[in-house]
Amino acid sequence: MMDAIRLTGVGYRPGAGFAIENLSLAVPEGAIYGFLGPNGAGKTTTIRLLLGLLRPAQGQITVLGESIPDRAPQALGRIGYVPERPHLYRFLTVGESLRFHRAFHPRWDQAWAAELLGGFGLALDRPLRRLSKGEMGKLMMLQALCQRPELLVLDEPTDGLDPVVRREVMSAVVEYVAEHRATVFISSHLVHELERLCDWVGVMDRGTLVTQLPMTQLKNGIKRLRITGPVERLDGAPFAVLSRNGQGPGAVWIVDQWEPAMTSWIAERGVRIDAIDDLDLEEGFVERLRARRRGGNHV
Amino acid sequence: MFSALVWLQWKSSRVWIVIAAVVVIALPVVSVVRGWPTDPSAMAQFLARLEAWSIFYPGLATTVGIAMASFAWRADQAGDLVYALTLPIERWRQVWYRFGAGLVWIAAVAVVLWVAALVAIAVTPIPASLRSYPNGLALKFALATMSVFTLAFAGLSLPDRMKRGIAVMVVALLMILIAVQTTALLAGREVNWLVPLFEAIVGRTGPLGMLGGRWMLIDV
Repeated sequence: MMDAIRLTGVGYRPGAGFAIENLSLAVPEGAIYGFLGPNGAGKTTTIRLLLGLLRPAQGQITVLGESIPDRAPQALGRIGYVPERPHLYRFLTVGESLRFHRAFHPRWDQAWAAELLGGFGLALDRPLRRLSKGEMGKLMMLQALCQRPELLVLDEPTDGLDPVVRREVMSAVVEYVAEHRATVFISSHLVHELERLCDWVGVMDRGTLVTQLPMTQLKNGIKRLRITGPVERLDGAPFAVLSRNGQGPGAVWIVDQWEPAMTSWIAERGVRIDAIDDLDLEEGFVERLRARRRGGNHV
Repeated sequence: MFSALVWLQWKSSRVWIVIAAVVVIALPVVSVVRGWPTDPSAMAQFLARLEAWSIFYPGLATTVGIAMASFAWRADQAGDLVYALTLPIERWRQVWYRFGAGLVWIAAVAVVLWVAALVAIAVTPIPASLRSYPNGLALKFALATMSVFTLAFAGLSLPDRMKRGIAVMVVALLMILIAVQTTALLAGREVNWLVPLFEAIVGRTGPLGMLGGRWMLIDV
């Protein structure tokens, strides 16, 4: 399967301090790829690099088979982009904004645009400067979807939206992806939202990719173990230990790369497992970042 | 795509375009028709008054040129140009289209001026000793506005950092020139660098040369 997005050894330094370093990332075609990371991790910069808005200092970027930034216009015709902040012309009305956008996208789906306008409750004659944040979010999503993109790049598309609007917007994305098998690259702080939606996850921190793997692997591989016994005998474990809490009875370990067969490995060392709990994506995300920042043995 | 950008330029700067159109209708009409002398001996006085009115043409050309250039990118600059740069069109092509869109509306204002000038001279009994220049005036207005627009568009299209750098350099250069010239004059030496500099810019061969010269609808 071809990758819809491929970054290889990409470096970018906007100024003193922050930098994207040796970033390699691959988004398989047809995947819904959640791009996680704390504020300032470099998510938006990465998105701007892959859209050709910024030129990397080194490395290669390929999007939908087009080399970026040299062939960005060709790729942009096949990409629907919803940025973090509203970027549309506020002096236009909703109808005018759609008309302008349509002029640049020959595959524009007018019938679906009309349907979504009704569904989103957007009036054609409303000036953009009078739209609420939620309405503006819906309009940006509508424009991105109705150009019938092969790849949707969504940068915090639901940030600041109320739950009702968020659900409406994401339902439209799901409907589109189900129908057109499009690839989605979505950056968000709302980890729970990504958990329901994504089948791949990449985590950024301080300009580097911390981890990138299928969602199932990410969720199944990370566990909270409650263990009792001589935990020092677990040195050299076949799993990665993200954090340890307490000694002796009731010790709690967060571990990664866990597999069911490892219970017997622990039992063989005289350590009893009291419980093995799943972590949700948000907990797993936070634990991975903490481990990385502590310089732990993971990642 | 070009027509979409022409329309976008209209939507962003239509207030200025309409104001400019009203002014270019009013200028020839007010200056010629209202001031037309009934006494043939007052013709010289009329021409002097017409010349006084003509100062408004280069002023209007400058204003319209700068306004059209600033509105070409203003809405995009507020959003860090993200929308403009994610449109599926080569950057060079988009710059040319936006430049062309500005020229279209400048040409439209010039056409309005031409029609207003034609109307003004049509209702005015011009004596055989005088001639009217509606074509020349409208063409001069169009070229002057386009010159200002081109310079302003080029300047405003530069990255912010470069724009600031150029602005600082220009101001610094001017201040140095003024300081040197003032010092030289106080020391009793005849130095005049500012006038030649000004003439180099707005003189006949300068980049803004079209703003100079006579802007007369009716002249000898």
